[in-house]
Amino acid sequence: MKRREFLKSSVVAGTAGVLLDACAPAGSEQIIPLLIPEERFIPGVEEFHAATCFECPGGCGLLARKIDGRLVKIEGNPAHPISKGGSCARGQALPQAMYHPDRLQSPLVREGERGKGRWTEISWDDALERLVTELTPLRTESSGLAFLTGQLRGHRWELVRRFLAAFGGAHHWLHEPFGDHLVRRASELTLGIEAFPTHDVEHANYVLTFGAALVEASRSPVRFGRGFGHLRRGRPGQRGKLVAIGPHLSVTAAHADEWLPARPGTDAALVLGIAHTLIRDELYDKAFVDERTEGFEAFRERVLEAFAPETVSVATGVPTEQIERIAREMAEYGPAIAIAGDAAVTGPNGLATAVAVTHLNALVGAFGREGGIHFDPPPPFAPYPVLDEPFVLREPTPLANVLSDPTIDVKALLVAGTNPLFTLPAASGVSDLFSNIPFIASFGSFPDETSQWADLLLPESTVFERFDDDVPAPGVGKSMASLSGPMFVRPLYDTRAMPDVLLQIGQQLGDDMAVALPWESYEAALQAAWSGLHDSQRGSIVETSANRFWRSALESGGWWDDSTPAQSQFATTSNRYRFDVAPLRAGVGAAPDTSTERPFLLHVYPSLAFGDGRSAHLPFLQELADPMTDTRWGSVVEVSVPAAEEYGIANGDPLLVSSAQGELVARARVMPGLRPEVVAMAVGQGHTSYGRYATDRGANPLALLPPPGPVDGSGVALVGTAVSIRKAPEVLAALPRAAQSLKV
Amino acid sequence: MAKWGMAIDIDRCDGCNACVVACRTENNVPTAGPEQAENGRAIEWIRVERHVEGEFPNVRVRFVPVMCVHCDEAPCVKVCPVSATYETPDGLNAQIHPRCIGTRACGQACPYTVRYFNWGEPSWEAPLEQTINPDVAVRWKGIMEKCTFCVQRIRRTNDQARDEEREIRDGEVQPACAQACPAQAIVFGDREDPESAVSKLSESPRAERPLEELGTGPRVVYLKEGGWGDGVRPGSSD
Amino acid sequence: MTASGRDRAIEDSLLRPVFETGRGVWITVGLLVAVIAYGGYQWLLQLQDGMVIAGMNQPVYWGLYITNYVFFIGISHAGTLISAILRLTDAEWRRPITRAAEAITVFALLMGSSNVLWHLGRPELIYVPLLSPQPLSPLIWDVACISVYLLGSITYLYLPLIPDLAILRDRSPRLRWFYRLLALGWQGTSRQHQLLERAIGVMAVAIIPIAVSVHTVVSWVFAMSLVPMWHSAIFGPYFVVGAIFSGIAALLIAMAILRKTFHLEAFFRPIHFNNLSLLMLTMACLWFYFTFAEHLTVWYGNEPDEIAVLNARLYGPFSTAFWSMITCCFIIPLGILSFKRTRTVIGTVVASCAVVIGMWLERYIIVISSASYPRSETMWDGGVYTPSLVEISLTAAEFAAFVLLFIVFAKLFPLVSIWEIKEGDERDIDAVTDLLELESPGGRAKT
Repeated sequence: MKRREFLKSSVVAGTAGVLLDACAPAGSEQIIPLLIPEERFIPGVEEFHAATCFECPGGCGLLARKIDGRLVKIEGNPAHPISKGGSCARGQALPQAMYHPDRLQSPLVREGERGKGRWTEISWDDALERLVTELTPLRTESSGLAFLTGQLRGHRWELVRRFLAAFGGAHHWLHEPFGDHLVRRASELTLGIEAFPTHDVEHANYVLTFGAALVEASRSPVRFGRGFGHLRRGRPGQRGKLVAIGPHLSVTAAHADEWLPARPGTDAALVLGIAHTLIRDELYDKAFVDERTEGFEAFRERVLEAFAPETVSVATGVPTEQIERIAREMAEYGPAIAIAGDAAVTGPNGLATAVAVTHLNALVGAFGREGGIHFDPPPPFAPYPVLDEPFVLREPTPLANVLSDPTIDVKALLVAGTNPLFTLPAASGVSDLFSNIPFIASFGSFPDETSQWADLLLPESTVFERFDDDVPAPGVGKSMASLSGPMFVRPLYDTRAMPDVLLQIGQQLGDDMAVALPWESYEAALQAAWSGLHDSQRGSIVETSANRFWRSALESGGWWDDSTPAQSQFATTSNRYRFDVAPLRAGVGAAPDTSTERPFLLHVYPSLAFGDGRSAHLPFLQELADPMTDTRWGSVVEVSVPAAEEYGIANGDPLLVSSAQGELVARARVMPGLRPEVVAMAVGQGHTSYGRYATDRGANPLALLPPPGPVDGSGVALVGTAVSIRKAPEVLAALPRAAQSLKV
Repeated sequence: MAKWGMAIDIDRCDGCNACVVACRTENNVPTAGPEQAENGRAIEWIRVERHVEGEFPNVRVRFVPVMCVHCDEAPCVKVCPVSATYETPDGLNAQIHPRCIGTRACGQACPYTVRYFNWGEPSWEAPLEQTINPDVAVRWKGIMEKCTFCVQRIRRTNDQARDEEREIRDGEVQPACAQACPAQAIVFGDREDPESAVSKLSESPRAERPLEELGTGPRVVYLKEGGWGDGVRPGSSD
Repeated sequence: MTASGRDRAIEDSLLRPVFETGRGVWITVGLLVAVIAYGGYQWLLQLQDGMVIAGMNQPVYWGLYITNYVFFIGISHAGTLISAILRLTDAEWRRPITRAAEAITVFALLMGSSNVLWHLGRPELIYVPLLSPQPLSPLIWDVACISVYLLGSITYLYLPLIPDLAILRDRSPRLRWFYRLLALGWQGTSRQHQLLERAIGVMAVAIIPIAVSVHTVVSWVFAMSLVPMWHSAIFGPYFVVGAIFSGIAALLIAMAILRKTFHLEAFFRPIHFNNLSLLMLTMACLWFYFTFAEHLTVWYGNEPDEIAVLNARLYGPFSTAFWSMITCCFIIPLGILSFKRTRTVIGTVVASCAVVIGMWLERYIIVISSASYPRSETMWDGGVYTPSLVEISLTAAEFAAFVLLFIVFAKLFPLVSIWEIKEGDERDIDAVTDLLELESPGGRAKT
């Protein structure tokens, strides 16, 4: 009885709350901006707080449901342009990250040797003092400090760069294993815009994906999931077509209308084979090519000369008639777009693939039209004050380049948002690099492999306990930014946001740094930047005062502007699309090498549940049956039906997989959707330290890959590793039994 | 009085499993852990089945979310010796947890295999119990459980609509799975209302009721996937 | 020897097992108690931790407990049914058998019903079906029929026991008060005999449809569902036939053991084994007929969900069990019992053991193979069920308790109906001749 009365009163109170939010659709939840302290919650009254998800690059806007003072449920924010109310398995599991038993609860300082896992709790004051003590002497050493991060989002990125620049000659090292950064590079080469293209899947009719696992991982799964639902059945009387290309039947390919099992590393050749047909049969968008591109002649010549469908068919293993038919369909059933990602844009052929796909899009005139490719106009943030000399904002160095540089000599390392000791193989030398650095501090929230090497742990609060912003890349073709604020008065544990820690020690590292980083808190830094959005007086939030704007943005989860058209101007010097041929010269069409010793090619892909492994600690995700392999709480090695027959492998048999860099053991799963010469494995398991649910579970295929190097774009090469497989019954006892078998 | 039903479009479903995790968090479904999951004890009120067809290179997979279809003529209701499961006036197949004595006859009788038993005591390692949704009872060992169409959300919306003296709008009640699905493959609503989305989808030529021939009267309709493979052209569809 | 002398000899023979207990019996009892205690311990673990320590899972929700339930309820049929039918047809050779048969029924019913306790997820609520039954549930029909059958069987065991209770009241060195209480003041007058015979006659008639109904409703727990290869119209008669079949086998084994252990060779004679085994042979053929019809129709009909189960039985994971079942239930009994030369006591016992094993396998196959291949187009290639320690321990404990109940019964009451033997010896000279030989000095040495 009591609860119902409370609920009744909450409805009355809540109705008033609804008026504050201009963006929620009719009948949706009541979004309450004011925070009620946890101990004074009204039982049974729910609140929804806008938040942003940072588990994958997608950047969905979420609504976090808080009831009885606790976070119990995540929903997609219906108003947010990326998620539009949808969410994914990883986002849905976030409450478990908040209340995880292995979450770091306070700053910790190492006891005993590195890697032994013994820590002592210290206060933040002591931790910051230690940090300042370690870093202050390095301000005079030009190669003293390095900050290793993942692809940080929103203003974090800029804050870190400012910090490092103001520090004086500090390095910014970047390691984002599945960053698809060669796609950005391809855009830069061809369009002059170094950014992820936004694919307007919602208005397209024909979508090709070269390797990009769009619906399960890759760049924006929720948005693509929504887009493909719409492509299929969202337009009455119209059903679009999705074609997936790759050696492995991913979840995306399984859902697609057609799967082209191209040999690993040959995607670029396949793209150009399709281009060949378009050019040869004059099916390409002549108007666009003539008026808005340059360098077409050289491109045309190269394609016609070297990439006839017959030739390409031999290289890729895809039948000639299929290549030609796809090309014709692209031309006939437009708007058509092509997307590249994941394994296809890594390794020696990665850049070629990304560039070839961009050219393919140009051939069908995809740039700037509905159902095509756009670039998001940047949101009009108020820029931070320009840094005076000698402070220079530097672009980061890929960690792969650092590892192959013998002159690196760094005395202190900060780590945030990346876990290279899991995502890089031992052969990369990353543990040697870490061993040689005298002081390492990590901002990770969980005791992962990289944090185990640190001397000081400065655990970050979860996204529900801190301020953060994000500009999703790719977005949806409009100017937008997400905003996320804390939904609790106090963090659950004694944790802080990383940008806040930087600002706090910045004050103590010197007056000049304090000038470069003048904000009291990251919230203030964000407010300063977001005041620019308020000043523009356009978009989803228009308010009279910056404070009200800020409050509204926090309530809504961000700001977006439909009025600014998507950027479709090219930024090349000629203002035309550039048919750059140079990247297409080397290594196109040749599949990676195998030997008799190692006759298989390993295909490594981010898993739906764990991404690059960062979500493996959540029990809901561990218990999720993988959509393709039906595995729970473990990992499997996928082998093709012919390979299984040849080696006498049945589902569940333990297999030893070895490459030149290492070996692993996992149970076999015989999959029909796999090229005969390919062995596939999902990333995410095989942690040696990541909480009780993920540690010592499954195997990590990234350990088998060659170390990334500058030659191949410095990303982790997910394709091209030669491996051998052997049945390994001697390790049967050590492996958990395979989950229920796949009905083949 | 509304009669609840659901339509699931297999052509939209891409196997992302957002619905599975959403349902778990909403309904306090405990994890079974690695050993028990291996032994077939995992509880998933909604699960995504995969049906693989063809051989390399013409392989296709259908992803089918499966949950209790809230039969009109439920075999489970017939066999329960203590009436722990019954059909509510608004068409839900309800499970009364305190009545269940755990014979598991309903589990055996259900032709969809969508009923789950608590083999052990559900547990959450502290502080994961903080994620428990107070709107849904936490179950205990020895009883059956299954999808309820998020009855707690239906009741909450009913109460709200009644307080505001209006009808429930189509799409206002969304079970966790329908709300989470990015592809909008799951649609929930009143089958008695011919204008509701679920009613209209149920009339699609692609619509079929699972195991309809058994006479269970399922309230969930599946919309078949479109064509695939070589020669599929984009174009007109129903 | 005089009539009273013969009577006395009969009584002495049949009361000896009650009054004297050899060391072998104590050792056996010790072992049985140990097995039962271990089963009890496992059950306590199951109560504490939940069914998680058992082997069932999704989709195989029903496992060994249900198998044993059906098996033991099945065994209960021979007892009372045989006893009743043989009484009604006035078959003379029934006389030594009836008591043991009636006892088997009661004990088997008790053991069968105990499985409900092990099987329920919440056994503390076992009374709820009695308070608020859902009348359309076959499980409620089970509760009703088995309760009536148990009551009926106990009555049917008790009534013919009364005259023997009177003998014990008069001759037992201990527990006189107990026998006096139960004997209800029996004096053996002709009027009392008349009443008793009529009561027994009524029960004999009444118990038959009750017994038939019991295993029919047990079968309907399966047949009323839509599970492939459970949903079959012939399950009712199929289970009843199987029950009688397995019950006769159990009875034969029990007779053989009692005969040996308590030196009742004079009473359980080759003719009894011969006649019962002929009955069992008939049931074997009937059972095979039903099994064949069941599987043939499934095979011919080719309905995919049912074919999945059929294939699993014929050559899939259940093939070993299935073909063993066919061997044990049909081939071995047919081979041994068709020929007089092999239809000896030993041969009969061997065949009966095979039948008991085969029929247990039959229950196992019916329950588990269908449960493993549900209709749902699921991701399973078939569920996997492995019986766990707790289930196996409780199974062993049940069998041990069944035997222990017999031993306890044998220590309290004569296992062969004394007054009926006396009544029959006037008509059965052979039996008496053998008996006299046995009771003569040195006679024992001959057996």
